Amino acid sequence: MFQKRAETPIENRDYSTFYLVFSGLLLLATLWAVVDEVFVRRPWKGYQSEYDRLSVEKLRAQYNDAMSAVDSSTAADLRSRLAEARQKLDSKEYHDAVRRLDGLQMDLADATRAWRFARSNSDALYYQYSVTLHDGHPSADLKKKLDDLDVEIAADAKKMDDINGSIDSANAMIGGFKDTADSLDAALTALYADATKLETKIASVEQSPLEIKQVLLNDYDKSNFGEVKARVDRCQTCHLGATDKNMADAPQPFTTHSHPELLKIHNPEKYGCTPCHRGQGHALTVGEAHGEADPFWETPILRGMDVYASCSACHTSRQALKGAAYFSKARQTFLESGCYGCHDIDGYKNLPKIGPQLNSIPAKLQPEWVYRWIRDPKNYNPHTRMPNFKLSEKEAGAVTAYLFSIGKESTFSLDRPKGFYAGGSASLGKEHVENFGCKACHVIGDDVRVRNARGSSYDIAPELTHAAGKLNPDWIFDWIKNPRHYNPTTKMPSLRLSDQEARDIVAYLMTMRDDRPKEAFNVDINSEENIALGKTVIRQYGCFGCHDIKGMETEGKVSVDLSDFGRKLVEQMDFGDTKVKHTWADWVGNKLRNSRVFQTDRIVQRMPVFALSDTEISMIRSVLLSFRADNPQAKYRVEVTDSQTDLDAGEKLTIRYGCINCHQLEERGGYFAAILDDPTKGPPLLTIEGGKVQEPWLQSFLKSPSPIRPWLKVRMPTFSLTEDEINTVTKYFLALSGQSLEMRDYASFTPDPHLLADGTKLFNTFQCIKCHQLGGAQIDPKSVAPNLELARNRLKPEWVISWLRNPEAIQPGTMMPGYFPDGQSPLPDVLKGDATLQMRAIRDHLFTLGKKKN
Amino acid sequence: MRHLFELVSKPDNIPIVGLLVLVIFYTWLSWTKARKNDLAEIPEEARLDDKVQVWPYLVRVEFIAMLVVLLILVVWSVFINAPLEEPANPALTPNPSKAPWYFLGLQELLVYFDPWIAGVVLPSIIIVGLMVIPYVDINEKGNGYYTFKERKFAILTFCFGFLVLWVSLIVLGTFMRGPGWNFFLPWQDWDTHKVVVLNNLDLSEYFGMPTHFPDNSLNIAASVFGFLFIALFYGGLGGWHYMKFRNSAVVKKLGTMRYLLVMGLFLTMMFVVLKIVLRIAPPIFGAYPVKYIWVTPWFNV
Repeated sequence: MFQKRAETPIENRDYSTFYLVFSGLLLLATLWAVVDEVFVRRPWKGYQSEYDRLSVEKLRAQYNDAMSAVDSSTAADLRSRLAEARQKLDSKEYHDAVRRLDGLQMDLADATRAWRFARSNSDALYYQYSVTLHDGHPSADLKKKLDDLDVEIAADAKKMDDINGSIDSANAMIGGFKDTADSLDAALTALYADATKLETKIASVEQSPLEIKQVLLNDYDKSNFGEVKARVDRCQTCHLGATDKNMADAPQPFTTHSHPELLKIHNPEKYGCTPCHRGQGHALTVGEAHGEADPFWETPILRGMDVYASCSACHTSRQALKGAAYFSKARQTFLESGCYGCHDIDGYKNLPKIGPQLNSIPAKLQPEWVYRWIRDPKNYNPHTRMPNFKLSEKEAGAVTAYLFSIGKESTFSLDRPKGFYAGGSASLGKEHVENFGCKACHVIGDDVRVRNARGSSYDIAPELTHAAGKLNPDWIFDWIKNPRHYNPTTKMPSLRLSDQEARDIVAYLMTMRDDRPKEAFNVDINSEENIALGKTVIRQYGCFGCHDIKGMETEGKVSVDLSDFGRKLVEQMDFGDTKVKHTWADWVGNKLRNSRVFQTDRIVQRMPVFALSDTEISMIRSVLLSFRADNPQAKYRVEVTDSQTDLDAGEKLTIRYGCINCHQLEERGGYFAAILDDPTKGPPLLTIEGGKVQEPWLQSFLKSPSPIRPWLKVRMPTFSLTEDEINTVTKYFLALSGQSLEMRDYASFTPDPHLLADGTKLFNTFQCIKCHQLGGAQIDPKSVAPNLELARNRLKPEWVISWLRNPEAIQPGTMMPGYFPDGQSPLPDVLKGDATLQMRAIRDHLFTLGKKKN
Repeated sequence: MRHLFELVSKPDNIPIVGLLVLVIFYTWLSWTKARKNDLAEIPEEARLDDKVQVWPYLVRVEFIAMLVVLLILVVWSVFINAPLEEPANPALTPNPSKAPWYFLGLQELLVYFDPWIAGVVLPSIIIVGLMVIPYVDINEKGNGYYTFKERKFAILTFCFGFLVLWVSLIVLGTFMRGPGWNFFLPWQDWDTHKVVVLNNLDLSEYFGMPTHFPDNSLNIAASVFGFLFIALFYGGLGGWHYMKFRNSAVVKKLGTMRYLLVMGLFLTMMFVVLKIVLRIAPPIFGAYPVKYIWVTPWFNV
């Protein structure tokens, strides 16, 4: 064929077939491109149609329900009566009346027009007349015409009034016919109101166009070049049912948001979706929008609990967040694991070290124990927070040698002669340990209830099951009498033990023998070589990140800054020789499970091996994921107010001192309740404390707790907090109640003398002292409520009022009955039954109790 | 091999692959035509007496070509998305960091020369050299027909300079340079962590002459040595050629000025090759690669 073609002279060659084929192909390709563009590349259209179909289906079902909910006999009755009434309208009189009304309406229109025209004429004439008036030659002719017109206007107005009168009477007559029908009609409409509303909804869904639904955040964040950058979230183009309650059981992507309460405070129309969920907001196909199919999108969607990592972008200043219990717990775990000991992290700077100081250990420990502990802490105590540094025998021996060498220089000495501890009763000691609340922090034996309630794999205080194998009894006595004597910065509180109580407890602890097999110990702790090597090892591994160690005071953090770790790219991570999947999450997960996993022959890793549970690993990973320096613009962030800072500081402090082990604070803590038979006999809820108690009382209580409920065996310990720490706690409690620290003179509160008589009466009528203790008299064993004589110096006057008004609202589950249900007084005779006045009277009476009479 | 496919099918690289095929095809076409003509007495083009008007006989064929190109572009646009990558980040350099494909030959030269030589001097010489061609090419043969016999030097020089040097450096830069600008065979995975030996010696150091003294000051003797080497390369090779061919018709016809220009440009091209060979070849024989031939306080070659 081509041969023949080549022989044909060029002028005679025919190209029409080529033209036909190629233009045909081009046409097809163009059509293909259009189809690709309109449908294939726009799958959201399919989702939207499907959503509309689903939505109509659900609404239709609701519509059917609404229709069947209508009582059919009522409807039939109404309908038949309506038909009857309408039939009546078909009479001659009614039609005559309607016709007459129509005629009157037309007459009225005519009359109105004549009146309006006359008025216009009058206005124009008046203008001409006023011109002559202005010139000083008023025209009598014009004046006459005007007067004539006025008469005409008045006549027209009268005529309109007459017609209106006739219309009213005609309407009244028609109304007489129609009213029944109209009211029946209205009743019928009201009967079907719900169904009609749904019908309108269905129509609006059916008519809604397919369109991209987007939220535009003009100034949410900044580009890599520091320019303010808009963010477009089109997630709701497919996730259409996020705010639609009907879609709770619908499949993805139509289902309702799983946490509507969070959505309520983070309106998606204002914040979009990606600030929390991440992903590629402007993309409209599944993989790209979630960012998982796009290898170049740096912030793919956060799945599962990881989404909480976004909270801290805007909530920069809080340790605990309401509605994000998981993340609060995650941050608590992160804090308690002491990551900040080796890593610099914004928001975790200048925190107290989590471990004890190690400057005077010879008074407390034996070198053998220290050596074995350093070799493998979990061997002695499987739940300790101390991680395993995997030191060699030589290194561990050297560290022991260094610690004992500085211990020898320590000025610490026991206050009492050796053997002073002797003479206690182990069984009494056991009782004390159980009663005083030691078990809120320390696990002993099989009693792991508080540990389980905390849900952590680690304890925040040493387990005492093998205490005798570790501690020196002289030291224990000294320690429990006054922990700050040995370690001035310890968080172990004093429980105000008497010498005998302390002796009993020592006796009890000395029964906690450690008979497990032990690693051999043969290290010369006095060898200069060992001491020097120990110092080097401690420097390399950064022991001083968690422990105060003499000679290491000026060392910095041994490891990298984590403040922007959430943004670290996979390319910047070293996976060593492992086959671990190359993702951020896998690297972090494996590192946390076994911190030496990426170690190679050449690359030494010193991060110690933790023994975190899988949940804790996920939690810490979430927290790490939240460390991103690319915070949104200030207007989207929660303002860092004084109260926010107070809350954060307080949250950290209450974790450190284990306050939340006993007390509940918002959604955190109260683990000690697990050990109590009767939770009301336990430590009180503290969320409300700031609004409840007077600041001077709180401060003096923290310095030196005095029993409020003396019948409780568990003791509020003396934490020996510093002034700063007491201030932190005070401000934290106040901030929890939405208050701030201000100078108040509580002593100047004077009860209203006019109310006192009634107050006493009410106090007796309500039988307050049936439960409350009053005065320092013998403790009534039936008392379950605090001594009311304390109220004057302890409680805030305004709080007493709100407490009396509704105790259940302030402290759900309280035993205090509400005497004023719905703010109404049950006693109408006193103070004219005014509930507020009655409450004030009781309060004023309370504040006179215990006052010395002058 | 999966890696090779990924590399070749990258939206950025598809045009390069297409161009490669085209370059090979047109080279083959011209060589076969030239061969045919060289074997015949009279070139094929000279024997054609059948001439037609451009309009409409050429234009109508070109229009079909236009339709085909348009068709390819439309189908291409359906299948292949714009190759967008991650948002630009001034704090993060992509690895490998590559110039547009047509500059990858120059970027490859950065391996063998200092930036100033590879990025400024050599490209300038290339441009000037190309501009000079019409003035030094005094061979009027080969106009309007394919031939090799009559333009051996011009065609061989072009094929070496363009196909062997320029195009293969682009192919090397595109397909065989991975993270860290390390060398990978096209089917090898680009391992970010690849570590290669980077031990180089200056040429003078082979002869026991350190380029720099321990206090980091320049060894004048080594510098002079380097200069002599380069002078020998240009003067020796050029001089040898001149002495041997000074009486040939071509050299006579070129004249001194044009001869010096052509020889200078040609030797510069060969010098680039020499430098590449001195870097690549020695390790094959267990020696260290050559870093610089001539080190001066101002520039290094």
